[in-house]
Amino acid sequence: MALIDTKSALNSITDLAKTTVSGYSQQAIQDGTALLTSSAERLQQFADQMAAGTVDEDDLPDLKLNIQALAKMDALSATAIGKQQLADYTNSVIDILLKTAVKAIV
Amino acid sequence: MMKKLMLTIATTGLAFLSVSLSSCVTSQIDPTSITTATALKARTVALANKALEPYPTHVADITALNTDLEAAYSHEKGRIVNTQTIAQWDLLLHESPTDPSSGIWPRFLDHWQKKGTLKSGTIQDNAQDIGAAFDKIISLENSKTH
Repeated sequence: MALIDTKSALNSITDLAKTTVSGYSQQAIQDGTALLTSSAERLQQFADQMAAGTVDEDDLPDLKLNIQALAKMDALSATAIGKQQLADYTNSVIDILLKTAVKAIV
Repeated sequence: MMKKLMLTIATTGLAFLSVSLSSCVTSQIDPTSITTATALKARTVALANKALEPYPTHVADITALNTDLEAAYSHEKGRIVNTQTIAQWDLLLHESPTDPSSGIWPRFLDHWQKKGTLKSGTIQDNAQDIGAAFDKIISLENSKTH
């Protein structure tokens, strides 16, 4: 079973891209979708590992923090190449994702 | 009066030149940074994969690796126009009271130390994140001016 409502999260990030990253909205939607997909896969992988007994429930907070840290690293790369709007957008996408995902898992 | 005007023009000109020059300074690629980060990635991921074994048996390796990671961080701190790279290293290496997500590597070590040994899935997940963090640092370095 899917852990997060990816369709709903995707709609949210598409709306966010249209309103916050004018000029980069297509790229932002692609970046946001890639980030959403990879993070959703990580969370699904965690759920599968939980079922298999290869991780513990108390590993989840670290996973969540790592996903946030990696998204911040992406935002820093965007800032370095002069795309501050994309950097801000990336941080917002991860907030949307983690709020949705954590609700689904916990 | 004329002298004062000339002085003002000269001062303004120098200030403008200074601002213009500083805006021309761009981040330069450093091949040493890429080589170092690539080697440290391999060592860090390899050590993370040993967390099936008890933490105390790897304390010497952890200490040696942490020394080398901090040396790489110091190298980055010494470079000009390198703010984003330094911040990326911070997210990998340093826990921060203002950013709970910061410190991917020490968070893993704390977890390993507290539990003694870690499960295979926990190791797999963390090794993946640690590797991805290094990849982002290396990718940013590669995007800099040659």
